[in-house]
Amino acid sequence: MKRRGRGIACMWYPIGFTASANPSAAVVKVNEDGTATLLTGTVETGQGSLTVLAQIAAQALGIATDDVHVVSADTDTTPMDTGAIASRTTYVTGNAVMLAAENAKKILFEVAAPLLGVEPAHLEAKDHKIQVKGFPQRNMHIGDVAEHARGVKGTPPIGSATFNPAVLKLDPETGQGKPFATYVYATQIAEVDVDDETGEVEVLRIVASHDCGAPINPMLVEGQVEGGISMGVGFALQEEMLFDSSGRLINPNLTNYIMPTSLDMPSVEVDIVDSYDETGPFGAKGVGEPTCVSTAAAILNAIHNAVGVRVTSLPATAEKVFAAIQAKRAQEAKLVTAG
Amino acid sequence: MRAFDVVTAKDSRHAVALLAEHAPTAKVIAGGTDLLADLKFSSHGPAMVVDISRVEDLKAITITDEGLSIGALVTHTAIMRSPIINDMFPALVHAAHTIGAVQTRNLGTLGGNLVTGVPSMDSGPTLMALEAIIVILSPAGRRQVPMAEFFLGPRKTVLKPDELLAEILIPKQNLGKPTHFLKFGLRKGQALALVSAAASVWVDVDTQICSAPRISLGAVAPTVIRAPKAEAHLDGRPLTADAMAEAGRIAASEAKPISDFRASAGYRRELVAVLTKRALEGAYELAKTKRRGA
Repeated sequence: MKRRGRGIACMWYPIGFTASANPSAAVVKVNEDGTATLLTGTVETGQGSLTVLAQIAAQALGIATDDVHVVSADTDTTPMDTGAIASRTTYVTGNAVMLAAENAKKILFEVAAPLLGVEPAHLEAKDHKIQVKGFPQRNMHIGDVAEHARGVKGTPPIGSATFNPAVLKLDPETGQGKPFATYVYATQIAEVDVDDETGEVEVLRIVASHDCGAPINPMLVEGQVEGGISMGVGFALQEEMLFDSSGRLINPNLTNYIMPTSLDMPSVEVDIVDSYDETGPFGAKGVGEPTCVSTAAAILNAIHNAVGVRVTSLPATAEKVFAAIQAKRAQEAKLVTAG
Repeated sequence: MRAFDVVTAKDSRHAVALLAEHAPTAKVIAGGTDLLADLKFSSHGPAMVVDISRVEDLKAITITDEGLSIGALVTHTAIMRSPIINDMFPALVHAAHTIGAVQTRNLGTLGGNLVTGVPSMDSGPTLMALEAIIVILSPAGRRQVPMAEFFLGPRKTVLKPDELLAEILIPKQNLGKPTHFLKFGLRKGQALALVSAAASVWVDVDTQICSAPRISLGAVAPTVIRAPKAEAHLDGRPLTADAMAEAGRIAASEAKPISDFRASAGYRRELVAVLTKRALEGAYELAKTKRRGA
């Protein structure tokens, strides 16, 4: 018989470690046709980070994301990056990109200010233009400003910047301090069916509510959460490296290292919490690893809610869940006999 | 991987002639979903591969005087799309659906699934529960082998090197027999069976009395097997919930599962009991549905 259960798990996760140097750098060059070129050392691994970095540069320069040409992960041409690790790219590399774009923009403002008859502080970059705040009809196309900067003023609009989260040493006696730049939070709720005759767990639905700061690209946030949940489902129920007595891996292939297929995925509902982090690029923090932190705990809590057993070693395979159900029944039978 | 030659057979007669010419070092390839994986990792592969994938006379699904004939080259996808099989044996459609991924099902053939002789084959239990007959061609002519006698051991069948599995025949008396198949794997998609079970049974829906119950199990013995004691327990008796549960327990005692890294023998035995019971329940439900539809 199938028994339905629900489980909740919450988590917090650190973004931007400060225990050691953690820099990212970026170069932003504004071109004479109004596009920009961004150099970054970070590696796109399918998570969409280059899209997010292009969006950050575009937002800072008032141009379209499509107009930002990203050159990445090439140590011949791009600054070295600490890595596409630790859920740090949007926050750390994103801050470097934003600052580099701001530096390029500062040159554009200094060039445009006398031409528009105002102070640089009165300018804004918007809709592919450098324009006077409050008087958008007084403007120059960003490409024309870039051309004037290079060809007339001799100050090509190139900005570079480094971002390294502020280092705050931990107190050696108390262990207290601030080891990370910022933190993200999430709650996930899992709904499962447990077959009490076989121990098979079917994850029906996961609702995931994530604070990632301001979501630069909400669709990519959803994609990250769905991907993290698929890892969490595998972690909870299937994935395990098995070794024989001599230490040799028994299941070094995807036939026997069991990962979820699309048929094993629950329906996923993603809720992005409204939030803004003052220290992040345009309020963003990050969302990578945090997505799979609470999934397994929520599923295991749901199993407990469904059939009343705690499985304390992962993965909670059908065989383990079934053994726990049998042990519980034996225990209850003993109590009845004793009573 | 060892180098080999390939010849393409034009029809089944040509295929048999090529096999006779090149046996015993020849292997037959159809969809290749199992053979190619074997060839890749094998250091002593065949010298000749006889490609029968273009043999059109082995691709038909037809009702004949003998029963339902399924050509050896019928793919799993073709089974899933066949109106005749969907109507008569939804269990065969379900079994085909559990095989590999879409690509595997598009290429892999029913005959190919059987000749591998692995105990976890997904097509095996349903066909065995329907008392299928394997039709074999060779230079000596045509012979028929009951499914229950076709497998000799893991990856071993009665097929001789110069013989070709041509057709799978579900005998006339079993056409439309209510049948149900269940597979339990470590995940839902692209899974190997830890245990699979099929049951076929005629039921008088008014009296619940059943006849000719046939139970077959996969992945819990050196070959796909029948569970004759469980069948005998049900034959001629009402198909009650208790009777089906007891048949499941008896089937579990008839299985000979092994322990490996995927599951323990004890757990596999528990699954045999549950899956057998549920396969019987599924066949019974189908019997009731068919009667309502009639």
